[in-house]
Amino acid sequence: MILEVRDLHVETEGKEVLRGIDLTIKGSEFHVLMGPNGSGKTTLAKAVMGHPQAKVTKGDIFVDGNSIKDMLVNERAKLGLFLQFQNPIEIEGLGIVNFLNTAKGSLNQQKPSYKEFMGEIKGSAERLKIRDDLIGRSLNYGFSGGEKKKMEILQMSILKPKLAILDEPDSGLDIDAVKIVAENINDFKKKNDAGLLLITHYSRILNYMEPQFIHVMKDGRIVKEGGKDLIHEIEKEGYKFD
Amino acid sequence: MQYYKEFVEDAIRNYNALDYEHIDLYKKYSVSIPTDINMKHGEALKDAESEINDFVDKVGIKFDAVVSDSLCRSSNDSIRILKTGELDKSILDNKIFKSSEDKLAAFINATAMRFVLIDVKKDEKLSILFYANATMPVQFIVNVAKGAKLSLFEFHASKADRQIVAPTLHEIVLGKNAVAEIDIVHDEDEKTSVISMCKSVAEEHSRLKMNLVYNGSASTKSRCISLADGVNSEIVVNEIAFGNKEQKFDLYNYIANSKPYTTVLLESGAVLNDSAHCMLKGFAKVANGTKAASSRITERGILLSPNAHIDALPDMSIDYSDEVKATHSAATAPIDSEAIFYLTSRGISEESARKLFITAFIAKYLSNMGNGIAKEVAMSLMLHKLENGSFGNAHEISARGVWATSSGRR
Repeated sequence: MILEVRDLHVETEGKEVLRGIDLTIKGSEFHVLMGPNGSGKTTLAKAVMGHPQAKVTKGDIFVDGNSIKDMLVNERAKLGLFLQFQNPIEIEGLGIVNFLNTAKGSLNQQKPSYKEFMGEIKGSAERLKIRDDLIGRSLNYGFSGGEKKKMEILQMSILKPKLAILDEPDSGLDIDAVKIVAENINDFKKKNDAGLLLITHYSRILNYMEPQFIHVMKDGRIVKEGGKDLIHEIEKEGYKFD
Repeated sequence: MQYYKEFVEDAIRNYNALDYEHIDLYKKYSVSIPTDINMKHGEALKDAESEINDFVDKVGIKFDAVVSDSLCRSSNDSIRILKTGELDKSILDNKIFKSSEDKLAAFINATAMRFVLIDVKKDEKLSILFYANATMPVQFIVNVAKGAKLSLFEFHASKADRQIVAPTLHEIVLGKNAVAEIDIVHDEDEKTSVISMCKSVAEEHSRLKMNLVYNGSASTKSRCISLADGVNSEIVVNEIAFGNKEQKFDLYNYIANSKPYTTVLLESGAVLNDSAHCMLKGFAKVANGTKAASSRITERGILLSPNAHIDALPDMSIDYSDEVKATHSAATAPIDSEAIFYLTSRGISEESARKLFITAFIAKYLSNMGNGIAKEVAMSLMLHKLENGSFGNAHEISARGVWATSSGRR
């Protein structure tokens, strides 16, 4: 999959948040998006996924050369896009297994047998060190912040997207959990040859990962781009880019 | 017959025995029940018996008892169905829902032609079909003896070729250390109006769980009074209404902690489409001297249409504060658009996401049902309504393998 964002301008609630973003992610490339609070990172993630409040006012988003700007959210997911939410929604009464089964069916993926499916879910939960009893519960209902983040990574490993946008998978996690989540993301990428766009404030999670491209956002624009060395620069100097 | 008409009109039009209904604020929150009722006591309708048998076959449940205007049968010794003249004086003397308490109760007390007596001495799992094809008030008197355990599933259905009322009155008493779960599922005809009166008393160390599901009927007027009357007793009431078209629900619950260490919890929910209207009225009373009592009212609603309307009215009266926990909350909203975005971002279509969200909301209430058959029937009826918008027409219920229980599949 090739995701191309071209001169993207986006408004939310009448305010221009993105002011001309250009970004290309090819195949299994690993990109990181950093930047201070309010720079527009989450808005970019939502715009790519088609959030109704992220209104594209100029520019376009392409997947494999085709515009997805007017495409429904679920149709974008069917192309292979996945968004890990910064604040995952809780839905009491919707069992996790039922939800994953419905999602897998909707993505037109070949459904494994029930036994294989449960084995896959349990295996993924074990690797993420998610307690067994959480799998039998309602989607994210009553979960801690860290458990919700892990559940997002579990969903990604089960739904196997071609390109995953990970919006702060490390926020709210303790040091051990950050390492576990990072290892599972690496594992998913390797097994599925998937592309990644990881959004984060901090470099901590990147100590366990090997991103190829770093982009820094500020005031709705990408103001700096580079390789992994840029992370060390940010660590030293903060977001002092114009 | 004239007597009945006057009585019905007095009871239904002018009932106002409940204290809160004298308060101006609440006067407008009330659903009217039609008064032009043709009482058909004992007058068997043509082909009614075969109609009920067909219904039972279609639903696919072997009920322990069937109660209707024209057909009454029980295959379990713990369920006796009596006519007015067959009732012991002692039963009448010991009734707990007094006519002086409420005119709707007075109406059913005066006009009931069938009495379903359920006496449980040990452990029982029972199922009853109440099928109305004419206006016929019925009383259910449930006694769960000291230390006994009851799981009771009541399926209330109706089929009417004209406007009818299905009035029922439940009296439930749990003896010391008794445990009971009572699941009442309504799937009534569009011409039926339901009047549902219920009073429960839990004696010391007893546990009562009531699950009430309102799916069908033109209008439903419910009065449910739950009294934790013994030390360390517990009553949990879960109710859910799923309405569409012009359906109306007036669901009143009065929950009371009368003794120390008691717990009474009320969870009311409604999902409404089209121009349906639901009033969730929860009143809690924590009496004086109820050390460590716990009382909670939760009212939740989802509006699926701009014309649907929910009035959530939680109300508490706390007369004591020593270690007492008393909380209430109410929330009504359309389907959360963020939740729909979340679900669709996983590839699920918007229509399926909405259905999944509604089903999850309903499932949250039905998950309290310990009786697998009752739960499956309730979920199946609601899913049928969600898919087709219709209610009150029995259909083949999707059993998904839960029928291998004591009641069995027919």
